[in-house]
Amino acid sequence: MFKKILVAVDGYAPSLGAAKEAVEMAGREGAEVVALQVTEEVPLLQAEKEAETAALKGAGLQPLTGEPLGLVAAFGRQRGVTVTTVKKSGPITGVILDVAKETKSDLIVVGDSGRKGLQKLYFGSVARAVSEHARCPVLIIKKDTVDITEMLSISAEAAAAPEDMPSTAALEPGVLRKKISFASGLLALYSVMYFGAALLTSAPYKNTAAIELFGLPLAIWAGWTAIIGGVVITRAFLIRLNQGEGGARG
Amino acid sequence: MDNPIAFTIVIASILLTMYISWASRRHTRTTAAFYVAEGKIPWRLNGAAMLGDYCSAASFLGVAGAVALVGVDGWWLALGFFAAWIVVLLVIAGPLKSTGKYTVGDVLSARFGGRESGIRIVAMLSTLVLCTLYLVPQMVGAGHLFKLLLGWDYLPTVLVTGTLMAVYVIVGGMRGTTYNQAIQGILLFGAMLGILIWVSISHFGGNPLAIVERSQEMVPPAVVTKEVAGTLAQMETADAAAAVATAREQMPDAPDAITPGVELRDLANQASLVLGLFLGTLGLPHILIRFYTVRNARAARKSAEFTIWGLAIFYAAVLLVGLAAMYVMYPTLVQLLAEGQRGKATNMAVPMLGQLLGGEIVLGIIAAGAMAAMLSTAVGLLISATTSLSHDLYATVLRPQSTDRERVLFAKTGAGFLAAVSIVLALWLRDQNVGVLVAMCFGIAASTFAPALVFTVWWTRLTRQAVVAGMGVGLVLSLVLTFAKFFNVPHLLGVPVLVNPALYSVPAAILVTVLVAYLTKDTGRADEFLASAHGS
Repeated sequence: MFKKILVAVDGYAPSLGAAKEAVEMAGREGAEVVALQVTEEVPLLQAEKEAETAALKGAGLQPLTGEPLGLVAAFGRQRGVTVTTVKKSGPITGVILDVAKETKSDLIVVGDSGRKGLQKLYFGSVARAVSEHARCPVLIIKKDTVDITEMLSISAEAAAAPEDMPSTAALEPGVLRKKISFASGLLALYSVMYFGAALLTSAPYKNTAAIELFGLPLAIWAGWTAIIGGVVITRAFLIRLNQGEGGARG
Repeated sequence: MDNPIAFTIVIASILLTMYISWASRRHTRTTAAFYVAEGKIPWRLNGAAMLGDYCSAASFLGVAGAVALVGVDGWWLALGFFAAWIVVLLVIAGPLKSTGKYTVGDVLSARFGGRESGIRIVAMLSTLVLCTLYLVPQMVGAGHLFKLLLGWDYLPTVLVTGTLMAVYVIVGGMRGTTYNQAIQGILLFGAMLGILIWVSISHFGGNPLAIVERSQEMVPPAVVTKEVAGTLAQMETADAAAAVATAREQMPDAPDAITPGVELRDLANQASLVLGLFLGTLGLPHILIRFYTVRNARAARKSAEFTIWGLAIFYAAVLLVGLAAMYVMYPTLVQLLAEGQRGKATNMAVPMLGQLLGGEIVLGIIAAGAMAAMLSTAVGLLISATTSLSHDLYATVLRPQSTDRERVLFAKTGAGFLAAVSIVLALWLRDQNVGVLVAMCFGIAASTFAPALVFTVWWTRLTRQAVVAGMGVGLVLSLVLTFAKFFNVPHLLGVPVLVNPALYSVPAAILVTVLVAYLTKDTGRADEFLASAHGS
């Protein structure tokens, strides 16, 4: 019935229950599994991360594994099911729905933490949001309805961890120098414009600043030069940056 | 209540921004969030959010208000705010985007390791000082705004503002920043342009350039008040044109509103101010976040260009709106100055102009935009402070074995204490222009974070000890000089105290950093870090 099952995992118990259910279902139906881990891309400050972790712990939730994808892949191998792992970042529900479409999955399996009251208001519910917007059936696995002991016994470390971190190539000699030259050149050029305009508007130069040019004081023209110069320099810098990155994903 | 409709608009806007933050919680994903899934964040939204960071209350209220009182000399501050953004883009936006770090603490930890307590402590102290002082102008501006809206005394309005900021932190946090900042940017930008168009049509025959012509007839209110306040204070009922003409008759040789020289600083003060503005934005916690929400270089470029153009237009509008406010509200501004209400005159010129033009609805829209700007800035600052408290002080120094819950509790208590300190300072500095107060904070940031950050991402030779020494010297010097200015101390350590500490503290911090770097050896993970920052 189902050919490709997408399961979203985050290392917490409800999602591991969903993963176990997805792999077992795929085994029964001869389907394959796409295991997806989404890293949220919200620029949170450390204090907020800690506050949220504390809130989750307070609600009896803490991550059971730091490598949920490796764990699902290992569990899949054990059951003879093909598991493709995908790690992406972005808004959680949006990415789940996108990946479901990209991989042509015909079933999405998600865990539900079963949060109530303020906790539910605070954290919301991915399960509910996915089921509202998905274009294929969605199976929601309620918290504590699937026994995940078997999964936890698999050593996640032994599983192949997905390669998601770009490797940092050593900085070629001269690259840093070239970048410093370019950035500092533009900065020096802009500094001349900016400090020229800014210091012209100090008391010792007030007579010079007040010299009229086309109906306006020189200082106002200098100010505008600094602003328009800033626009031009920014444009030049960003064009160069884009050429350097070749449109690579940022 | 003085302005029930305007007040309702402000409250509605506050509730809306709180809802947006709430709806952006960890796992909540509404339809709107689905549309900004990977690759779908519209660059215009990011551009508007970047604009929202920059069209802050300092620019919107402070700069325009300063122009309304002293003429074009109030506008030079805007140049610094604009230029600061260019510096951020040229110097650190690229490297920081590459490393994925966007706070000073993160950057220093990435290069020098997270367990170095010297760096942690000096970064924490700098963060706490900067955040506390930067909260002050937000509170001063918001306090005056509530006072204008509700007619309350200043003290309760500042207390209410402080409480609101705390609620924002608890309910909102950094989530929803993109949406809230974008709404705020569009609102402030739209309000500024809207006022400009409206006032041009209603008072200047539909021609914005006529504002400049009229400006050449006006004697700035700050000059009038010094010279002939007694006469003009009686002109409560005079219309603007008559008041302008009377002032000019009485002071035929006085400068006009677009002639530089009304309130120009001496060379040292001006140099110090513009240097502080130029470098100050580099260390502000809420500024770089926008670069991490764009998905690729093309989107980043488009967003940045959108922002730069937006800022250029915005600051042009600020100049014209300030001059228009001077003309339209001439008798009112002169009278406020004569009564000694400089704080209200300088910070509330734009909202008062909006009220004059479009009544309570326009006042409400302007107040809502300004309030959103102040509250969102305050959230970023308070959360940065709590991060420092929980992470750098409590978990590293005081109680390394503490639990998450204990750290969070300590951080929240500490943030409450910092907010209380800010309230006391806001009461003390109530008559200061918010733009000038913000500029002072820029001076502190320029002396502490800017050198550390720039050297960390660009200089292989920088050492752990140099960071601590440079930031320490920058912090102590800039803080001492800032408070000397607050207390009106004319000279300190044999040098004149300036409007901004940067002229002394920035070179000192740079010099100490470089000297100590050459005397010590521990460069941290320099090669690895610089490769991640600058490798293609």
